[in-house]
Amino acid sequence: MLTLPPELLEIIFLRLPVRSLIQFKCVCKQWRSLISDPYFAKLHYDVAIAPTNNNNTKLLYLSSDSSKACCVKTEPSIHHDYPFKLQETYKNHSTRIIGSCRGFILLQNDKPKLGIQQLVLM
Amino acid sequence: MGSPVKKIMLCSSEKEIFSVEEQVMVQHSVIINNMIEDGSYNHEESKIPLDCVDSKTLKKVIDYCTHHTHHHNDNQEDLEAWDAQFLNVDSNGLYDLLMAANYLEIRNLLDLIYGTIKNMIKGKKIDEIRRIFNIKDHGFTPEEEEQNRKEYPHFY
Repeated sequence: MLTLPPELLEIIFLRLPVRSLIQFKCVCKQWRSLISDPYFAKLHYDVAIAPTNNNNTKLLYLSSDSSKACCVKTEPSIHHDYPFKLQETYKNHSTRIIGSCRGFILLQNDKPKLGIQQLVLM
Repeated sequence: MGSPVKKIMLCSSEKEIFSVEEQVMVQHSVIINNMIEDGSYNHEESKIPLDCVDSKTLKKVIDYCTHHTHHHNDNQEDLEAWDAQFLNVDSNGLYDLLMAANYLEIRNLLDLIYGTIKNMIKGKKIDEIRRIFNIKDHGFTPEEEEQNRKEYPHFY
C-alpha cells in the first residue's frame, strides 16, 4: 500500500486501542510524531469515551493475592481479560485500587517506601 | 409512465465517461450532492472530472453506491457479506478506493475502508506493518532503531 496522508492515518489511529498505538510509535518517525501529538491524544481520548452502540464498559479488579490487576470487558460477554502483572517487589503486600482517570489506574501498595504505582489501562 | 431516470456523467483519470443515476451519487457523495444542489452541474453538457480516480476504481465506487442505494433495505448480514466481498482487493486496490472515497466524500464507504485497514494492522508486528505500508525508510537512526528493538522485542 502506498503511504497514507497523515490526516487519513490519524482517522485509522483513532479507531485503535492505546495498546496498538504504543507499539505503532516504533513503526516510523512520522507515525511516532502523529501519535505523540497531544492534540491527537486528546482526540483519541474523546473518541474512546464517546458513547457507541457497543458497550465498552470495563471492569477492573485485583487478583486475590494482589499479584496482578485485571481488566475485563463486560459486554457483550466477559471474555477479554487483560492482566497487568505487578512488579515482583509489590507482591505479598496489600495493593488497592485508588482510582482511575483517562486510562491510568492509580494503585497503592502498603510496602514501606514503595508508595504508589501507576499503570496504563488499555 | 415515470419520468426517465436522471443521469450524471463522471469522467475518470483516463478520460473514460461513466453514466450513473444521479440519485445514486447524490445519496452517497457529499461532493456530488453539493454540485447538484448549488447548480454547478449542468445536465446538458457537464461531466464531473475525477482526475485522481482511475477507471477501475471509479467503476468499483459506482458499484458500491449503486448497490447500497438499491439494497439498503436488505438485511444487515447480506449487506455485510456484500461489503466484505466488495473489499476483497489487494492493498493497492484498497488504497485507491480509500483515496477515491475520501475525494468524493462517501462517508459509509470511508468508514468501511477505515475499519478494514484497522483490522489489517491491529495486533500485527512492526515488521509486518512496515511491509503492509511499504515503509522503507522509518526515519529512526540505527541507534534509535536498535534501542527500540532492545526495549520492546515483542513489538517486532
